Amino acid sequence: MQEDGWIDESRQTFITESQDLLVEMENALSVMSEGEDDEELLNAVFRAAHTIKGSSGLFGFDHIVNFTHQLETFLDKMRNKEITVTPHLVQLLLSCRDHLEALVEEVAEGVTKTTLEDAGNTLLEGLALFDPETKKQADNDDNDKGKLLNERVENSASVTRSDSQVETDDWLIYLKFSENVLRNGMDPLSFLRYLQTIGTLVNVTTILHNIPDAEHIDVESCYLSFQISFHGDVEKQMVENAFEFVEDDCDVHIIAPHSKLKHYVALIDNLSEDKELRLGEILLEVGLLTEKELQHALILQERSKQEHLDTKDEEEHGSVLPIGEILIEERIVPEETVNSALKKQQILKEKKVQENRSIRIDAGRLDDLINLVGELVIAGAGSSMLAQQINNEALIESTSVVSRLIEEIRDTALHLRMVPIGETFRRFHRVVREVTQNMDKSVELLIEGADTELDKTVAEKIVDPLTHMIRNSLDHGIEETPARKKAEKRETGQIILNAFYDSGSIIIEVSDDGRGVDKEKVLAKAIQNGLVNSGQDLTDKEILRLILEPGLSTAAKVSDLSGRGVGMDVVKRNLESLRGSVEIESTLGEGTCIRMRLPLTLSIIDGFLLGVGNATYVVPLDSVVECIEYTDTSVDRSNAHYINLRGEVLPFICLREFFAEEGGISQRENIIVVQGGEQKIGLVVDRLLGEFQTVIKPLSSIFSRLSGISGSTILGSGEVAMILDVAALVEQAGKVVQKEKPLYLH
Amino acid sequence: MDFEISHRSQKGVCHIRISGEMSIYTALELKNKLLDIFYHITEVHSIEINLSEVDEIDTAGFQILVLMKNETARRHIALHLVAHSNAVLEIFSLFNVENFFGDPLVLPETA
Repeated sequence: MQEDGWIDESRQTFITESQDLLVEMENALSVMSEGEDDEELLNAVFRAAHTIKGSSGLFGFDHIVNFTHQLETFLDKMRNKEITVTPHLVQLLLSCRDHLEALVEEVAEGVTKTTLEDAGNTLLEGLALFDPETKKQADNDDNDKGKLLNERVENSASVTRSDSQVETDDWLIYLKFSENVLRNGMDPLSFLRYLQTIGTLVNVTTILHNIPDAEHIDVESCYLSFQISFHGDVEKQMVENAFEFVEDDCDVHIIAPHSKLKHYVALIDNLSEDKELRLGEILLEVGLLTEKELQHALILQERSKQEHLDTKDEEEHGSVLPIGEILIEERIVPEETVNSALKKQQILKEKKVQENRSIRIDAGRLDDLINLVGELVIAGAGSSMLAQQINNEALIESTSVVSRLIEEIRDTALHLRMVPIGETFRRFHRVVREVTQNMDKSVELLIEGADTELDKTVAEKIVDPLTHMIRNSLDHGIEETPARKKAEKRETGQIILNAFYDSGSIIIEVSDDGRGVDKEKVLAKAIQNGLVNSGQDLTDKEILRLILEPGLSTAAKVSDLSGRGVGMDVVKRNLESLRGSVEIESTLGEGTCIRMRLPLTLSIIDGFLLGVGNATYVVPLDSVVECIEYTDTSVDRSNAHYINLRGEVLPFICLREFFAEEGGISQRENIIVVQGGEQKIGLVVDRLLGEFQTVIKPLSSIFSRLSGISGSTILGSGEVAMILDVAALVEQAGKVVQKEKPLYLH
Repeated sequence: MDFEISHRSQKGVCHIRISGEMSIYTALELKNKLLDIFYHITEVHSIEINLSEVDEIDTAGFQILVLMKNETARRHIALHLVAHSNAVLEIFSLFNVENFFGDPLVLPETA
């Protein structure tokens, strides 16, 4: 039964791979549906279809092969611009993609439904309607293909030499000897004789008219050139080898016989797809082109480039003759084979692109690696600390090199887990499309900062919150078209997904230009639900934050209120599990922006070590703004939790008090200014211990209610240090200040 | 032995006989001698070159024959190559130039 196991396993691979490809396909189609007309997108769709076809063939899923094959053919026509891309067509292609997904799912479930086949056929019939060729075929069955072919030939190269020169079944050899060939001890005769030994000279035309008159002739020079038809069952290299000794003294063009063309085309098709080859290399590989000819062509190409540069002709400037055209022009290889080689190259390129894109690694292995790197960081920190203590210069220097390398390894290892957020964002095109289909709304989704990278785990976990937010925006944020007209807004609503970095975090924004949140209604609702007391004085931000509360989140209640809040508590919960935070801005009638702040990674950060009493704390380095000396010891800390930092009111928290640390009070306390979101606060600490690479060890759930701490880490000495949760501390400090503001005013 | 060349004019026809080697090694001398004869003949309407004793010919030698053909044509003198030796026949056949010279080719009797 081992075999079954293998099949199951590889089938699983097929399924996941296909699903990945389908996602790619969808992404590309989604972008296309926005009117983006990029060849690369179409190529991506084609690639996906092509690969799925290939692998389903391997598993004998003939129905999938059948469908994808026709889809692929159609896509290929699109690539050749035989079919123009229209929004309607893209929609249809999306449906085809969905159908493929259904087919793959079927495989995953191990059942086959005949209904799908009908659906597939309907889709294909739909596609056929877009194909001008089928239309043409209806009234004019023949000739089309020929015409099409001709057109392609004309388009493909400006040089259209008639194919007649290769009509015969012989090799055609053009030989032009340089004048020196005889002096160098070679004689054209011997080459002809040699050719006779490997085949038959069918016809030789000796061109004599280059021989000068009696006065000018140099009898030791050669003035002859030849056109030779040669029949023989040989490879091109062999023919060229005949001229190996005269390569400097001879201009040779060898054209393969007609029957060989098919052979070469077949060879090209069968070429392994392991590596990307240049056109020349492909031709070389199958033996159509020899190394020397390729060099020659490359030189010509270089020369033509130079000429273009020299002429400085506006139009021609910069346009370099493609190698294929040179080869055809120089009659080195027939056009037919160049075309097929070009096609092959395209396939190779696509394959290459695909391979470049990713290596599939078990996420577990990556986690292992990162864990190890984490341990390495700790161990490295340990040894550099020891080196410091021993105070051996050489040792310190070598440990500092090691530390630097560890730092780089850490960054690289963490980077392995990073993915561009664009992929996550793009799947929302579909959400938008699906949700708005049944609504009287027209909404476009704009994506910004798609290249921003973040940890894959984070990227996966924000899908749910994002979905909620976008649904919300669609459902309640963006108004119906008539309402928008009335409000003199653009008819098409906009949802913008944006991502960017901000001080060690990634910020993800979902903004819409909808009706915004009615704060008064939210407040009223919150009071009604008992979330807030009626007398409480809340800032706008606090009111907006209320919509994240569970009490305000049931759909029915909220949708007639302000529209916000469907599952928003889910959003909040999800983000908190990622050590992220949410901020909401909204202007009534103008739109809403939900801003999520997430850590870039979940495992290792650059930290800043602080000493408080006997304990050590770590604060994420990115949040540290500056360090100042805390000199004013006369301040009564219980009453005045703020200092004047160059005219700015800076609330501060004394960590000794906050965490109830004991131990000797330092004579010179420091304030470390940290920033969380918009707000800066000061933290009063005893000692500043400098930078430290921090491997975050999550706290067990027992400590989950602990405020101000987001995790722990192990120091080089083996001690445990707590990692401060800056956002929470900022919030804490804000409360303290607000409480005390009245006191201050009195 | 390199080559030998002899000639005599009779009834408006200059008979030239080349024997030995027509190769790159002899080409210069051969050309000079041939041209020398050619420039000095008078009242000759045709030249006949007997090649029966050419036992070696290469491209350089062949080119001289072509040269002679061209030069004679320019002066409206007919050039006939006769009694081609095997070596000459081979090169003519390889180069496929029988038509260029337009002379009847007779396979020499095997000696």
